[in-house]
Amino acid sequence: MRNSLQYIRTRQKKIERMRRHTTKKHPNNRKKMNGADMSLRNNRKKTKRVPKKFCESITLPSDSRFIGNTESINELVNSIIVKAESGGDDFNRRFIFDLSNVTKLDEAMINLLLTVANYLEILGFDYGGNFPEDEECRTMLEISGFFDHVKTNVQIKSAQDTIFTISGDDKTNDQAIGAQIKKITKALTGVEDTFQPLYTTLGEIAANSVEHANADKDKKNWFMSVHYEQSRVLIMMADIGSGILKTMNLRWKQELLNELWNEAPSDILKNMFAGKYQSSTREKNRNNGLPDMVPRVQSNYLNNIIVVSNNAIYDFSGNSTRTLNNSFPGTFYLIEVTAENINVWQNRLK
Amino acid sequence: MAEQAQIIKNVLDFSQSPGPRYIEQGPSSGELFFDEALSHWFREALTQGRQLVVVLDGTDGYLTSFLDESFGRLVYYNGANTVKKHLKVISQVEPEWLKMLDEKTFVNWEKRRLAGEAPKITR
Repeated sequence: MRNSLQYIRTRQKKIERMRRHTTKKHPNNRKKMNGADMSLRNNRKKTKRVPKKFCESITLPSDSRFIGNTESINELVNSIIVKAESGGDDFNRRFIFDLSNVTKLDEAMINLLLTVANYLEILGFDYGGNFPEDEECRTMLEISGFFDHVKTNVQIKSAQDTIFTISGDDKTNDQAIGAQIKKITKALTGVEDTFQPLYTTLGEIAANSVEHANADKDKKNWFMSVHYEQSRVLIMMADIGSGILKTMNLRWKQELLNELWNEAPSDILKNMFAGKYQSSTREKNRNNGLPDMVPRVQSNYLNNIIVVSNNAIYDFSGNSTRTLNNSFPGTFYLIEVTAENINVWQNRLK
Repeated sequence: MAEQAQIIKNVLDFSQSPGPRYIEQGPSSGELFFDEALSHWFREALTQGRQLVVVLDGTDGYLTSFLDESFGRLVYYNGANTVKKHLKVISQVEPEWLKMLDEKTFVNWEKRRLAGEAPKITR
């Protein structure tokens, strides 16, 4: 008797548990909610695991020029990358860029923002933002083509003639680079043509990024943008990664010599472009790409190259270098081309 | 002495936009050019006792690594002497590359060949 009563109670408990479980799961029994919450619920059901919210707001400084305020921007980019890389897999990932205070902006910064956005996308983050309140900066951002990549529900001015962008991952895209160079020559000289010094330079930068910037294939990234002006074209290419100085893999003898001579990071970067060190792969036939860039500026085939990598900046045409307090997490190049450069190149053998 | 008969080939027939060093790095790489074009052209020239003439002009340009890897592999597998005897590279637009190939690529890859440092295969 006692056993059968115990059996009945156990059965009743089991049936009650099953009833509660069925009621909870059945969509018709779910308490009605407003649309937004419902959509969140549906998402939760799909992902099975309840994601924690991760929505990081990044405020850009008033002076958001990369060339000119490099220290502050490096600090900012570093903080974004650190937050993104420590975001974990279980987060609902989103960054909000607050541009409302920006009163100074340059093309280099727009390229950098897009490079960071491209990297965040590769890491699986969503991103959004607002406009600068400053009218000039807002217009600059609108016509830059920035919003071709960053979605917005606000209508923006078209900028197809003033900018071109290519986003890359673990592969180079030399065909797109070659096609864009023909447009650059057309804009500067009126004639669509190849321009080999620029093709070689951009190809080397993209290839270096793909090979050296990130050991993890899934994190490989590079971003190129082209800004057209009346008398010059600026081409910018950047990646988020280890940076040149951190991937140099110097021989211990060279490291010792650098320490003995008290070589600053900026001097080491300059020496790298002067071909004084061996490639990080240590193969005999490597490390020709970067050193070959210097003669192209010296010969006036390219007007200038500025490179920022880790805590060093090197301006080729001014032959000036500077060591930075805040390190850039990757490598950034700015290349300037004019009609005169193309003319000098085309007439050099005559 | 009679001039050696020639086989003339254009890199442009392989790609308008030659790419990086390795197949894993992007399209139209030096590794791919060697595998799919240059090695076959050279074998054909050797078999027929002719000189292979490779024309660089007409493309968008070159990366140092594309030329180094493709022509370097040719030296690694055939030896610098055989390559120099049966290969002529020409370029009117960028004769700078000819100097690089002659002074750096052929020399360094012959050293690699003698040291047995095989090319990296990324296909």
